[in-house]
Amino acid sequence: MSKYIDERVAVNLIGSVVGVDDLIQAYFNNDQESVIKGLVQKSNDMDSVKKLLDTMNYNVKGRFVSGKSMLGEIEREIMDSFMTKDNVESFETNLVGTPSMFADAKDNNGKDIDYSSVKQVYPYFNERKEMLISLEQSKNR
Amino acid sequence: MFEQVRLSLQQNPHIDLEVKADIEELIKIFNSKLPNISLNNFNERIKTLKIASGNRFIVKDPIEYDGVNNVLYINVDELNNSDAKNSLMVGLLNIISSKGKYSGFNENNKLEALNIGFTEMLADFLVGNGSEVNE
Repeated sequence: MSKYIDERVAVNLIGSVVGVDDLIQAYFNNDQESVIKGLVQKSNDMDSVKKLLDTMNYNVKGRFVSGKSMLGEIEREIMDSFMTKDNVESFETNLVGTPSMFADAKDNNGKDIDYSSVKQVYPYFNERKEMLISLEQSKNR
Repeated sequence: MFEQVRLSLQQNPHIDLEVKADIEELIKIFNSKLPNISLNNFNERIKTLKIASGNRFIVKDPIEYDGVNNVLYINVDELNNSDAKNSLMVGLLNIISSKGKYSGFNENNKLEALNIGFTEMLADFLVGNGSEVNE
């Protein structure tokens, strides 16, 4: 398993929202601003995007020191910022909420990293999905 | 452009022949799968690239690129536990997209985590990842 599994899960989710081709172009053109702009446009909330990026940047090193992953929080923040009725199926496919999937992940001391934060991912997804469906139904009434 | 890169790689006095062959193979794959991406930056950097062993307390990943000094650091212990081809591709992607201290769309570490995840996924797309097979 990749050491950077948390970042892969997050990129999978975010890539399905902002478009992988745009990310490729930004990557090879060293264009950080277009990525941030794309994220803010999709979420309509600069503060949420900033919070998400801060959480991801803390977790990329922090989990190897603290022994605790924040992937569950990250997935919830991505849902809050980017999940809509149009991409809910893609989220359902790409979300990861099973702690046993991360059984091989070790911290800097060789101990298992705690992935209990992902346990809340599927219940939270179901709650958000229901809310989006209800909103859509009330719009169509 | 690929031919130019190949010549630049051959002229590099710091890299041994076996590693040159590995790099050439991976750049060929990169160029065939992403033909519209410029290799100009890589072509310049490969001429003087050095490869060195990294202290495990400093080099945390199998392969890390120092874009300021143009050195590819290898952590042998980590490399032995990873898919070497995939790890080398991660290193090469960092060189191709290097802008000095930062690579890809990361600048001042604002997009550090996103950039790491995206680099890994690009490497998987280009050469697969054997270390994922036995999960």
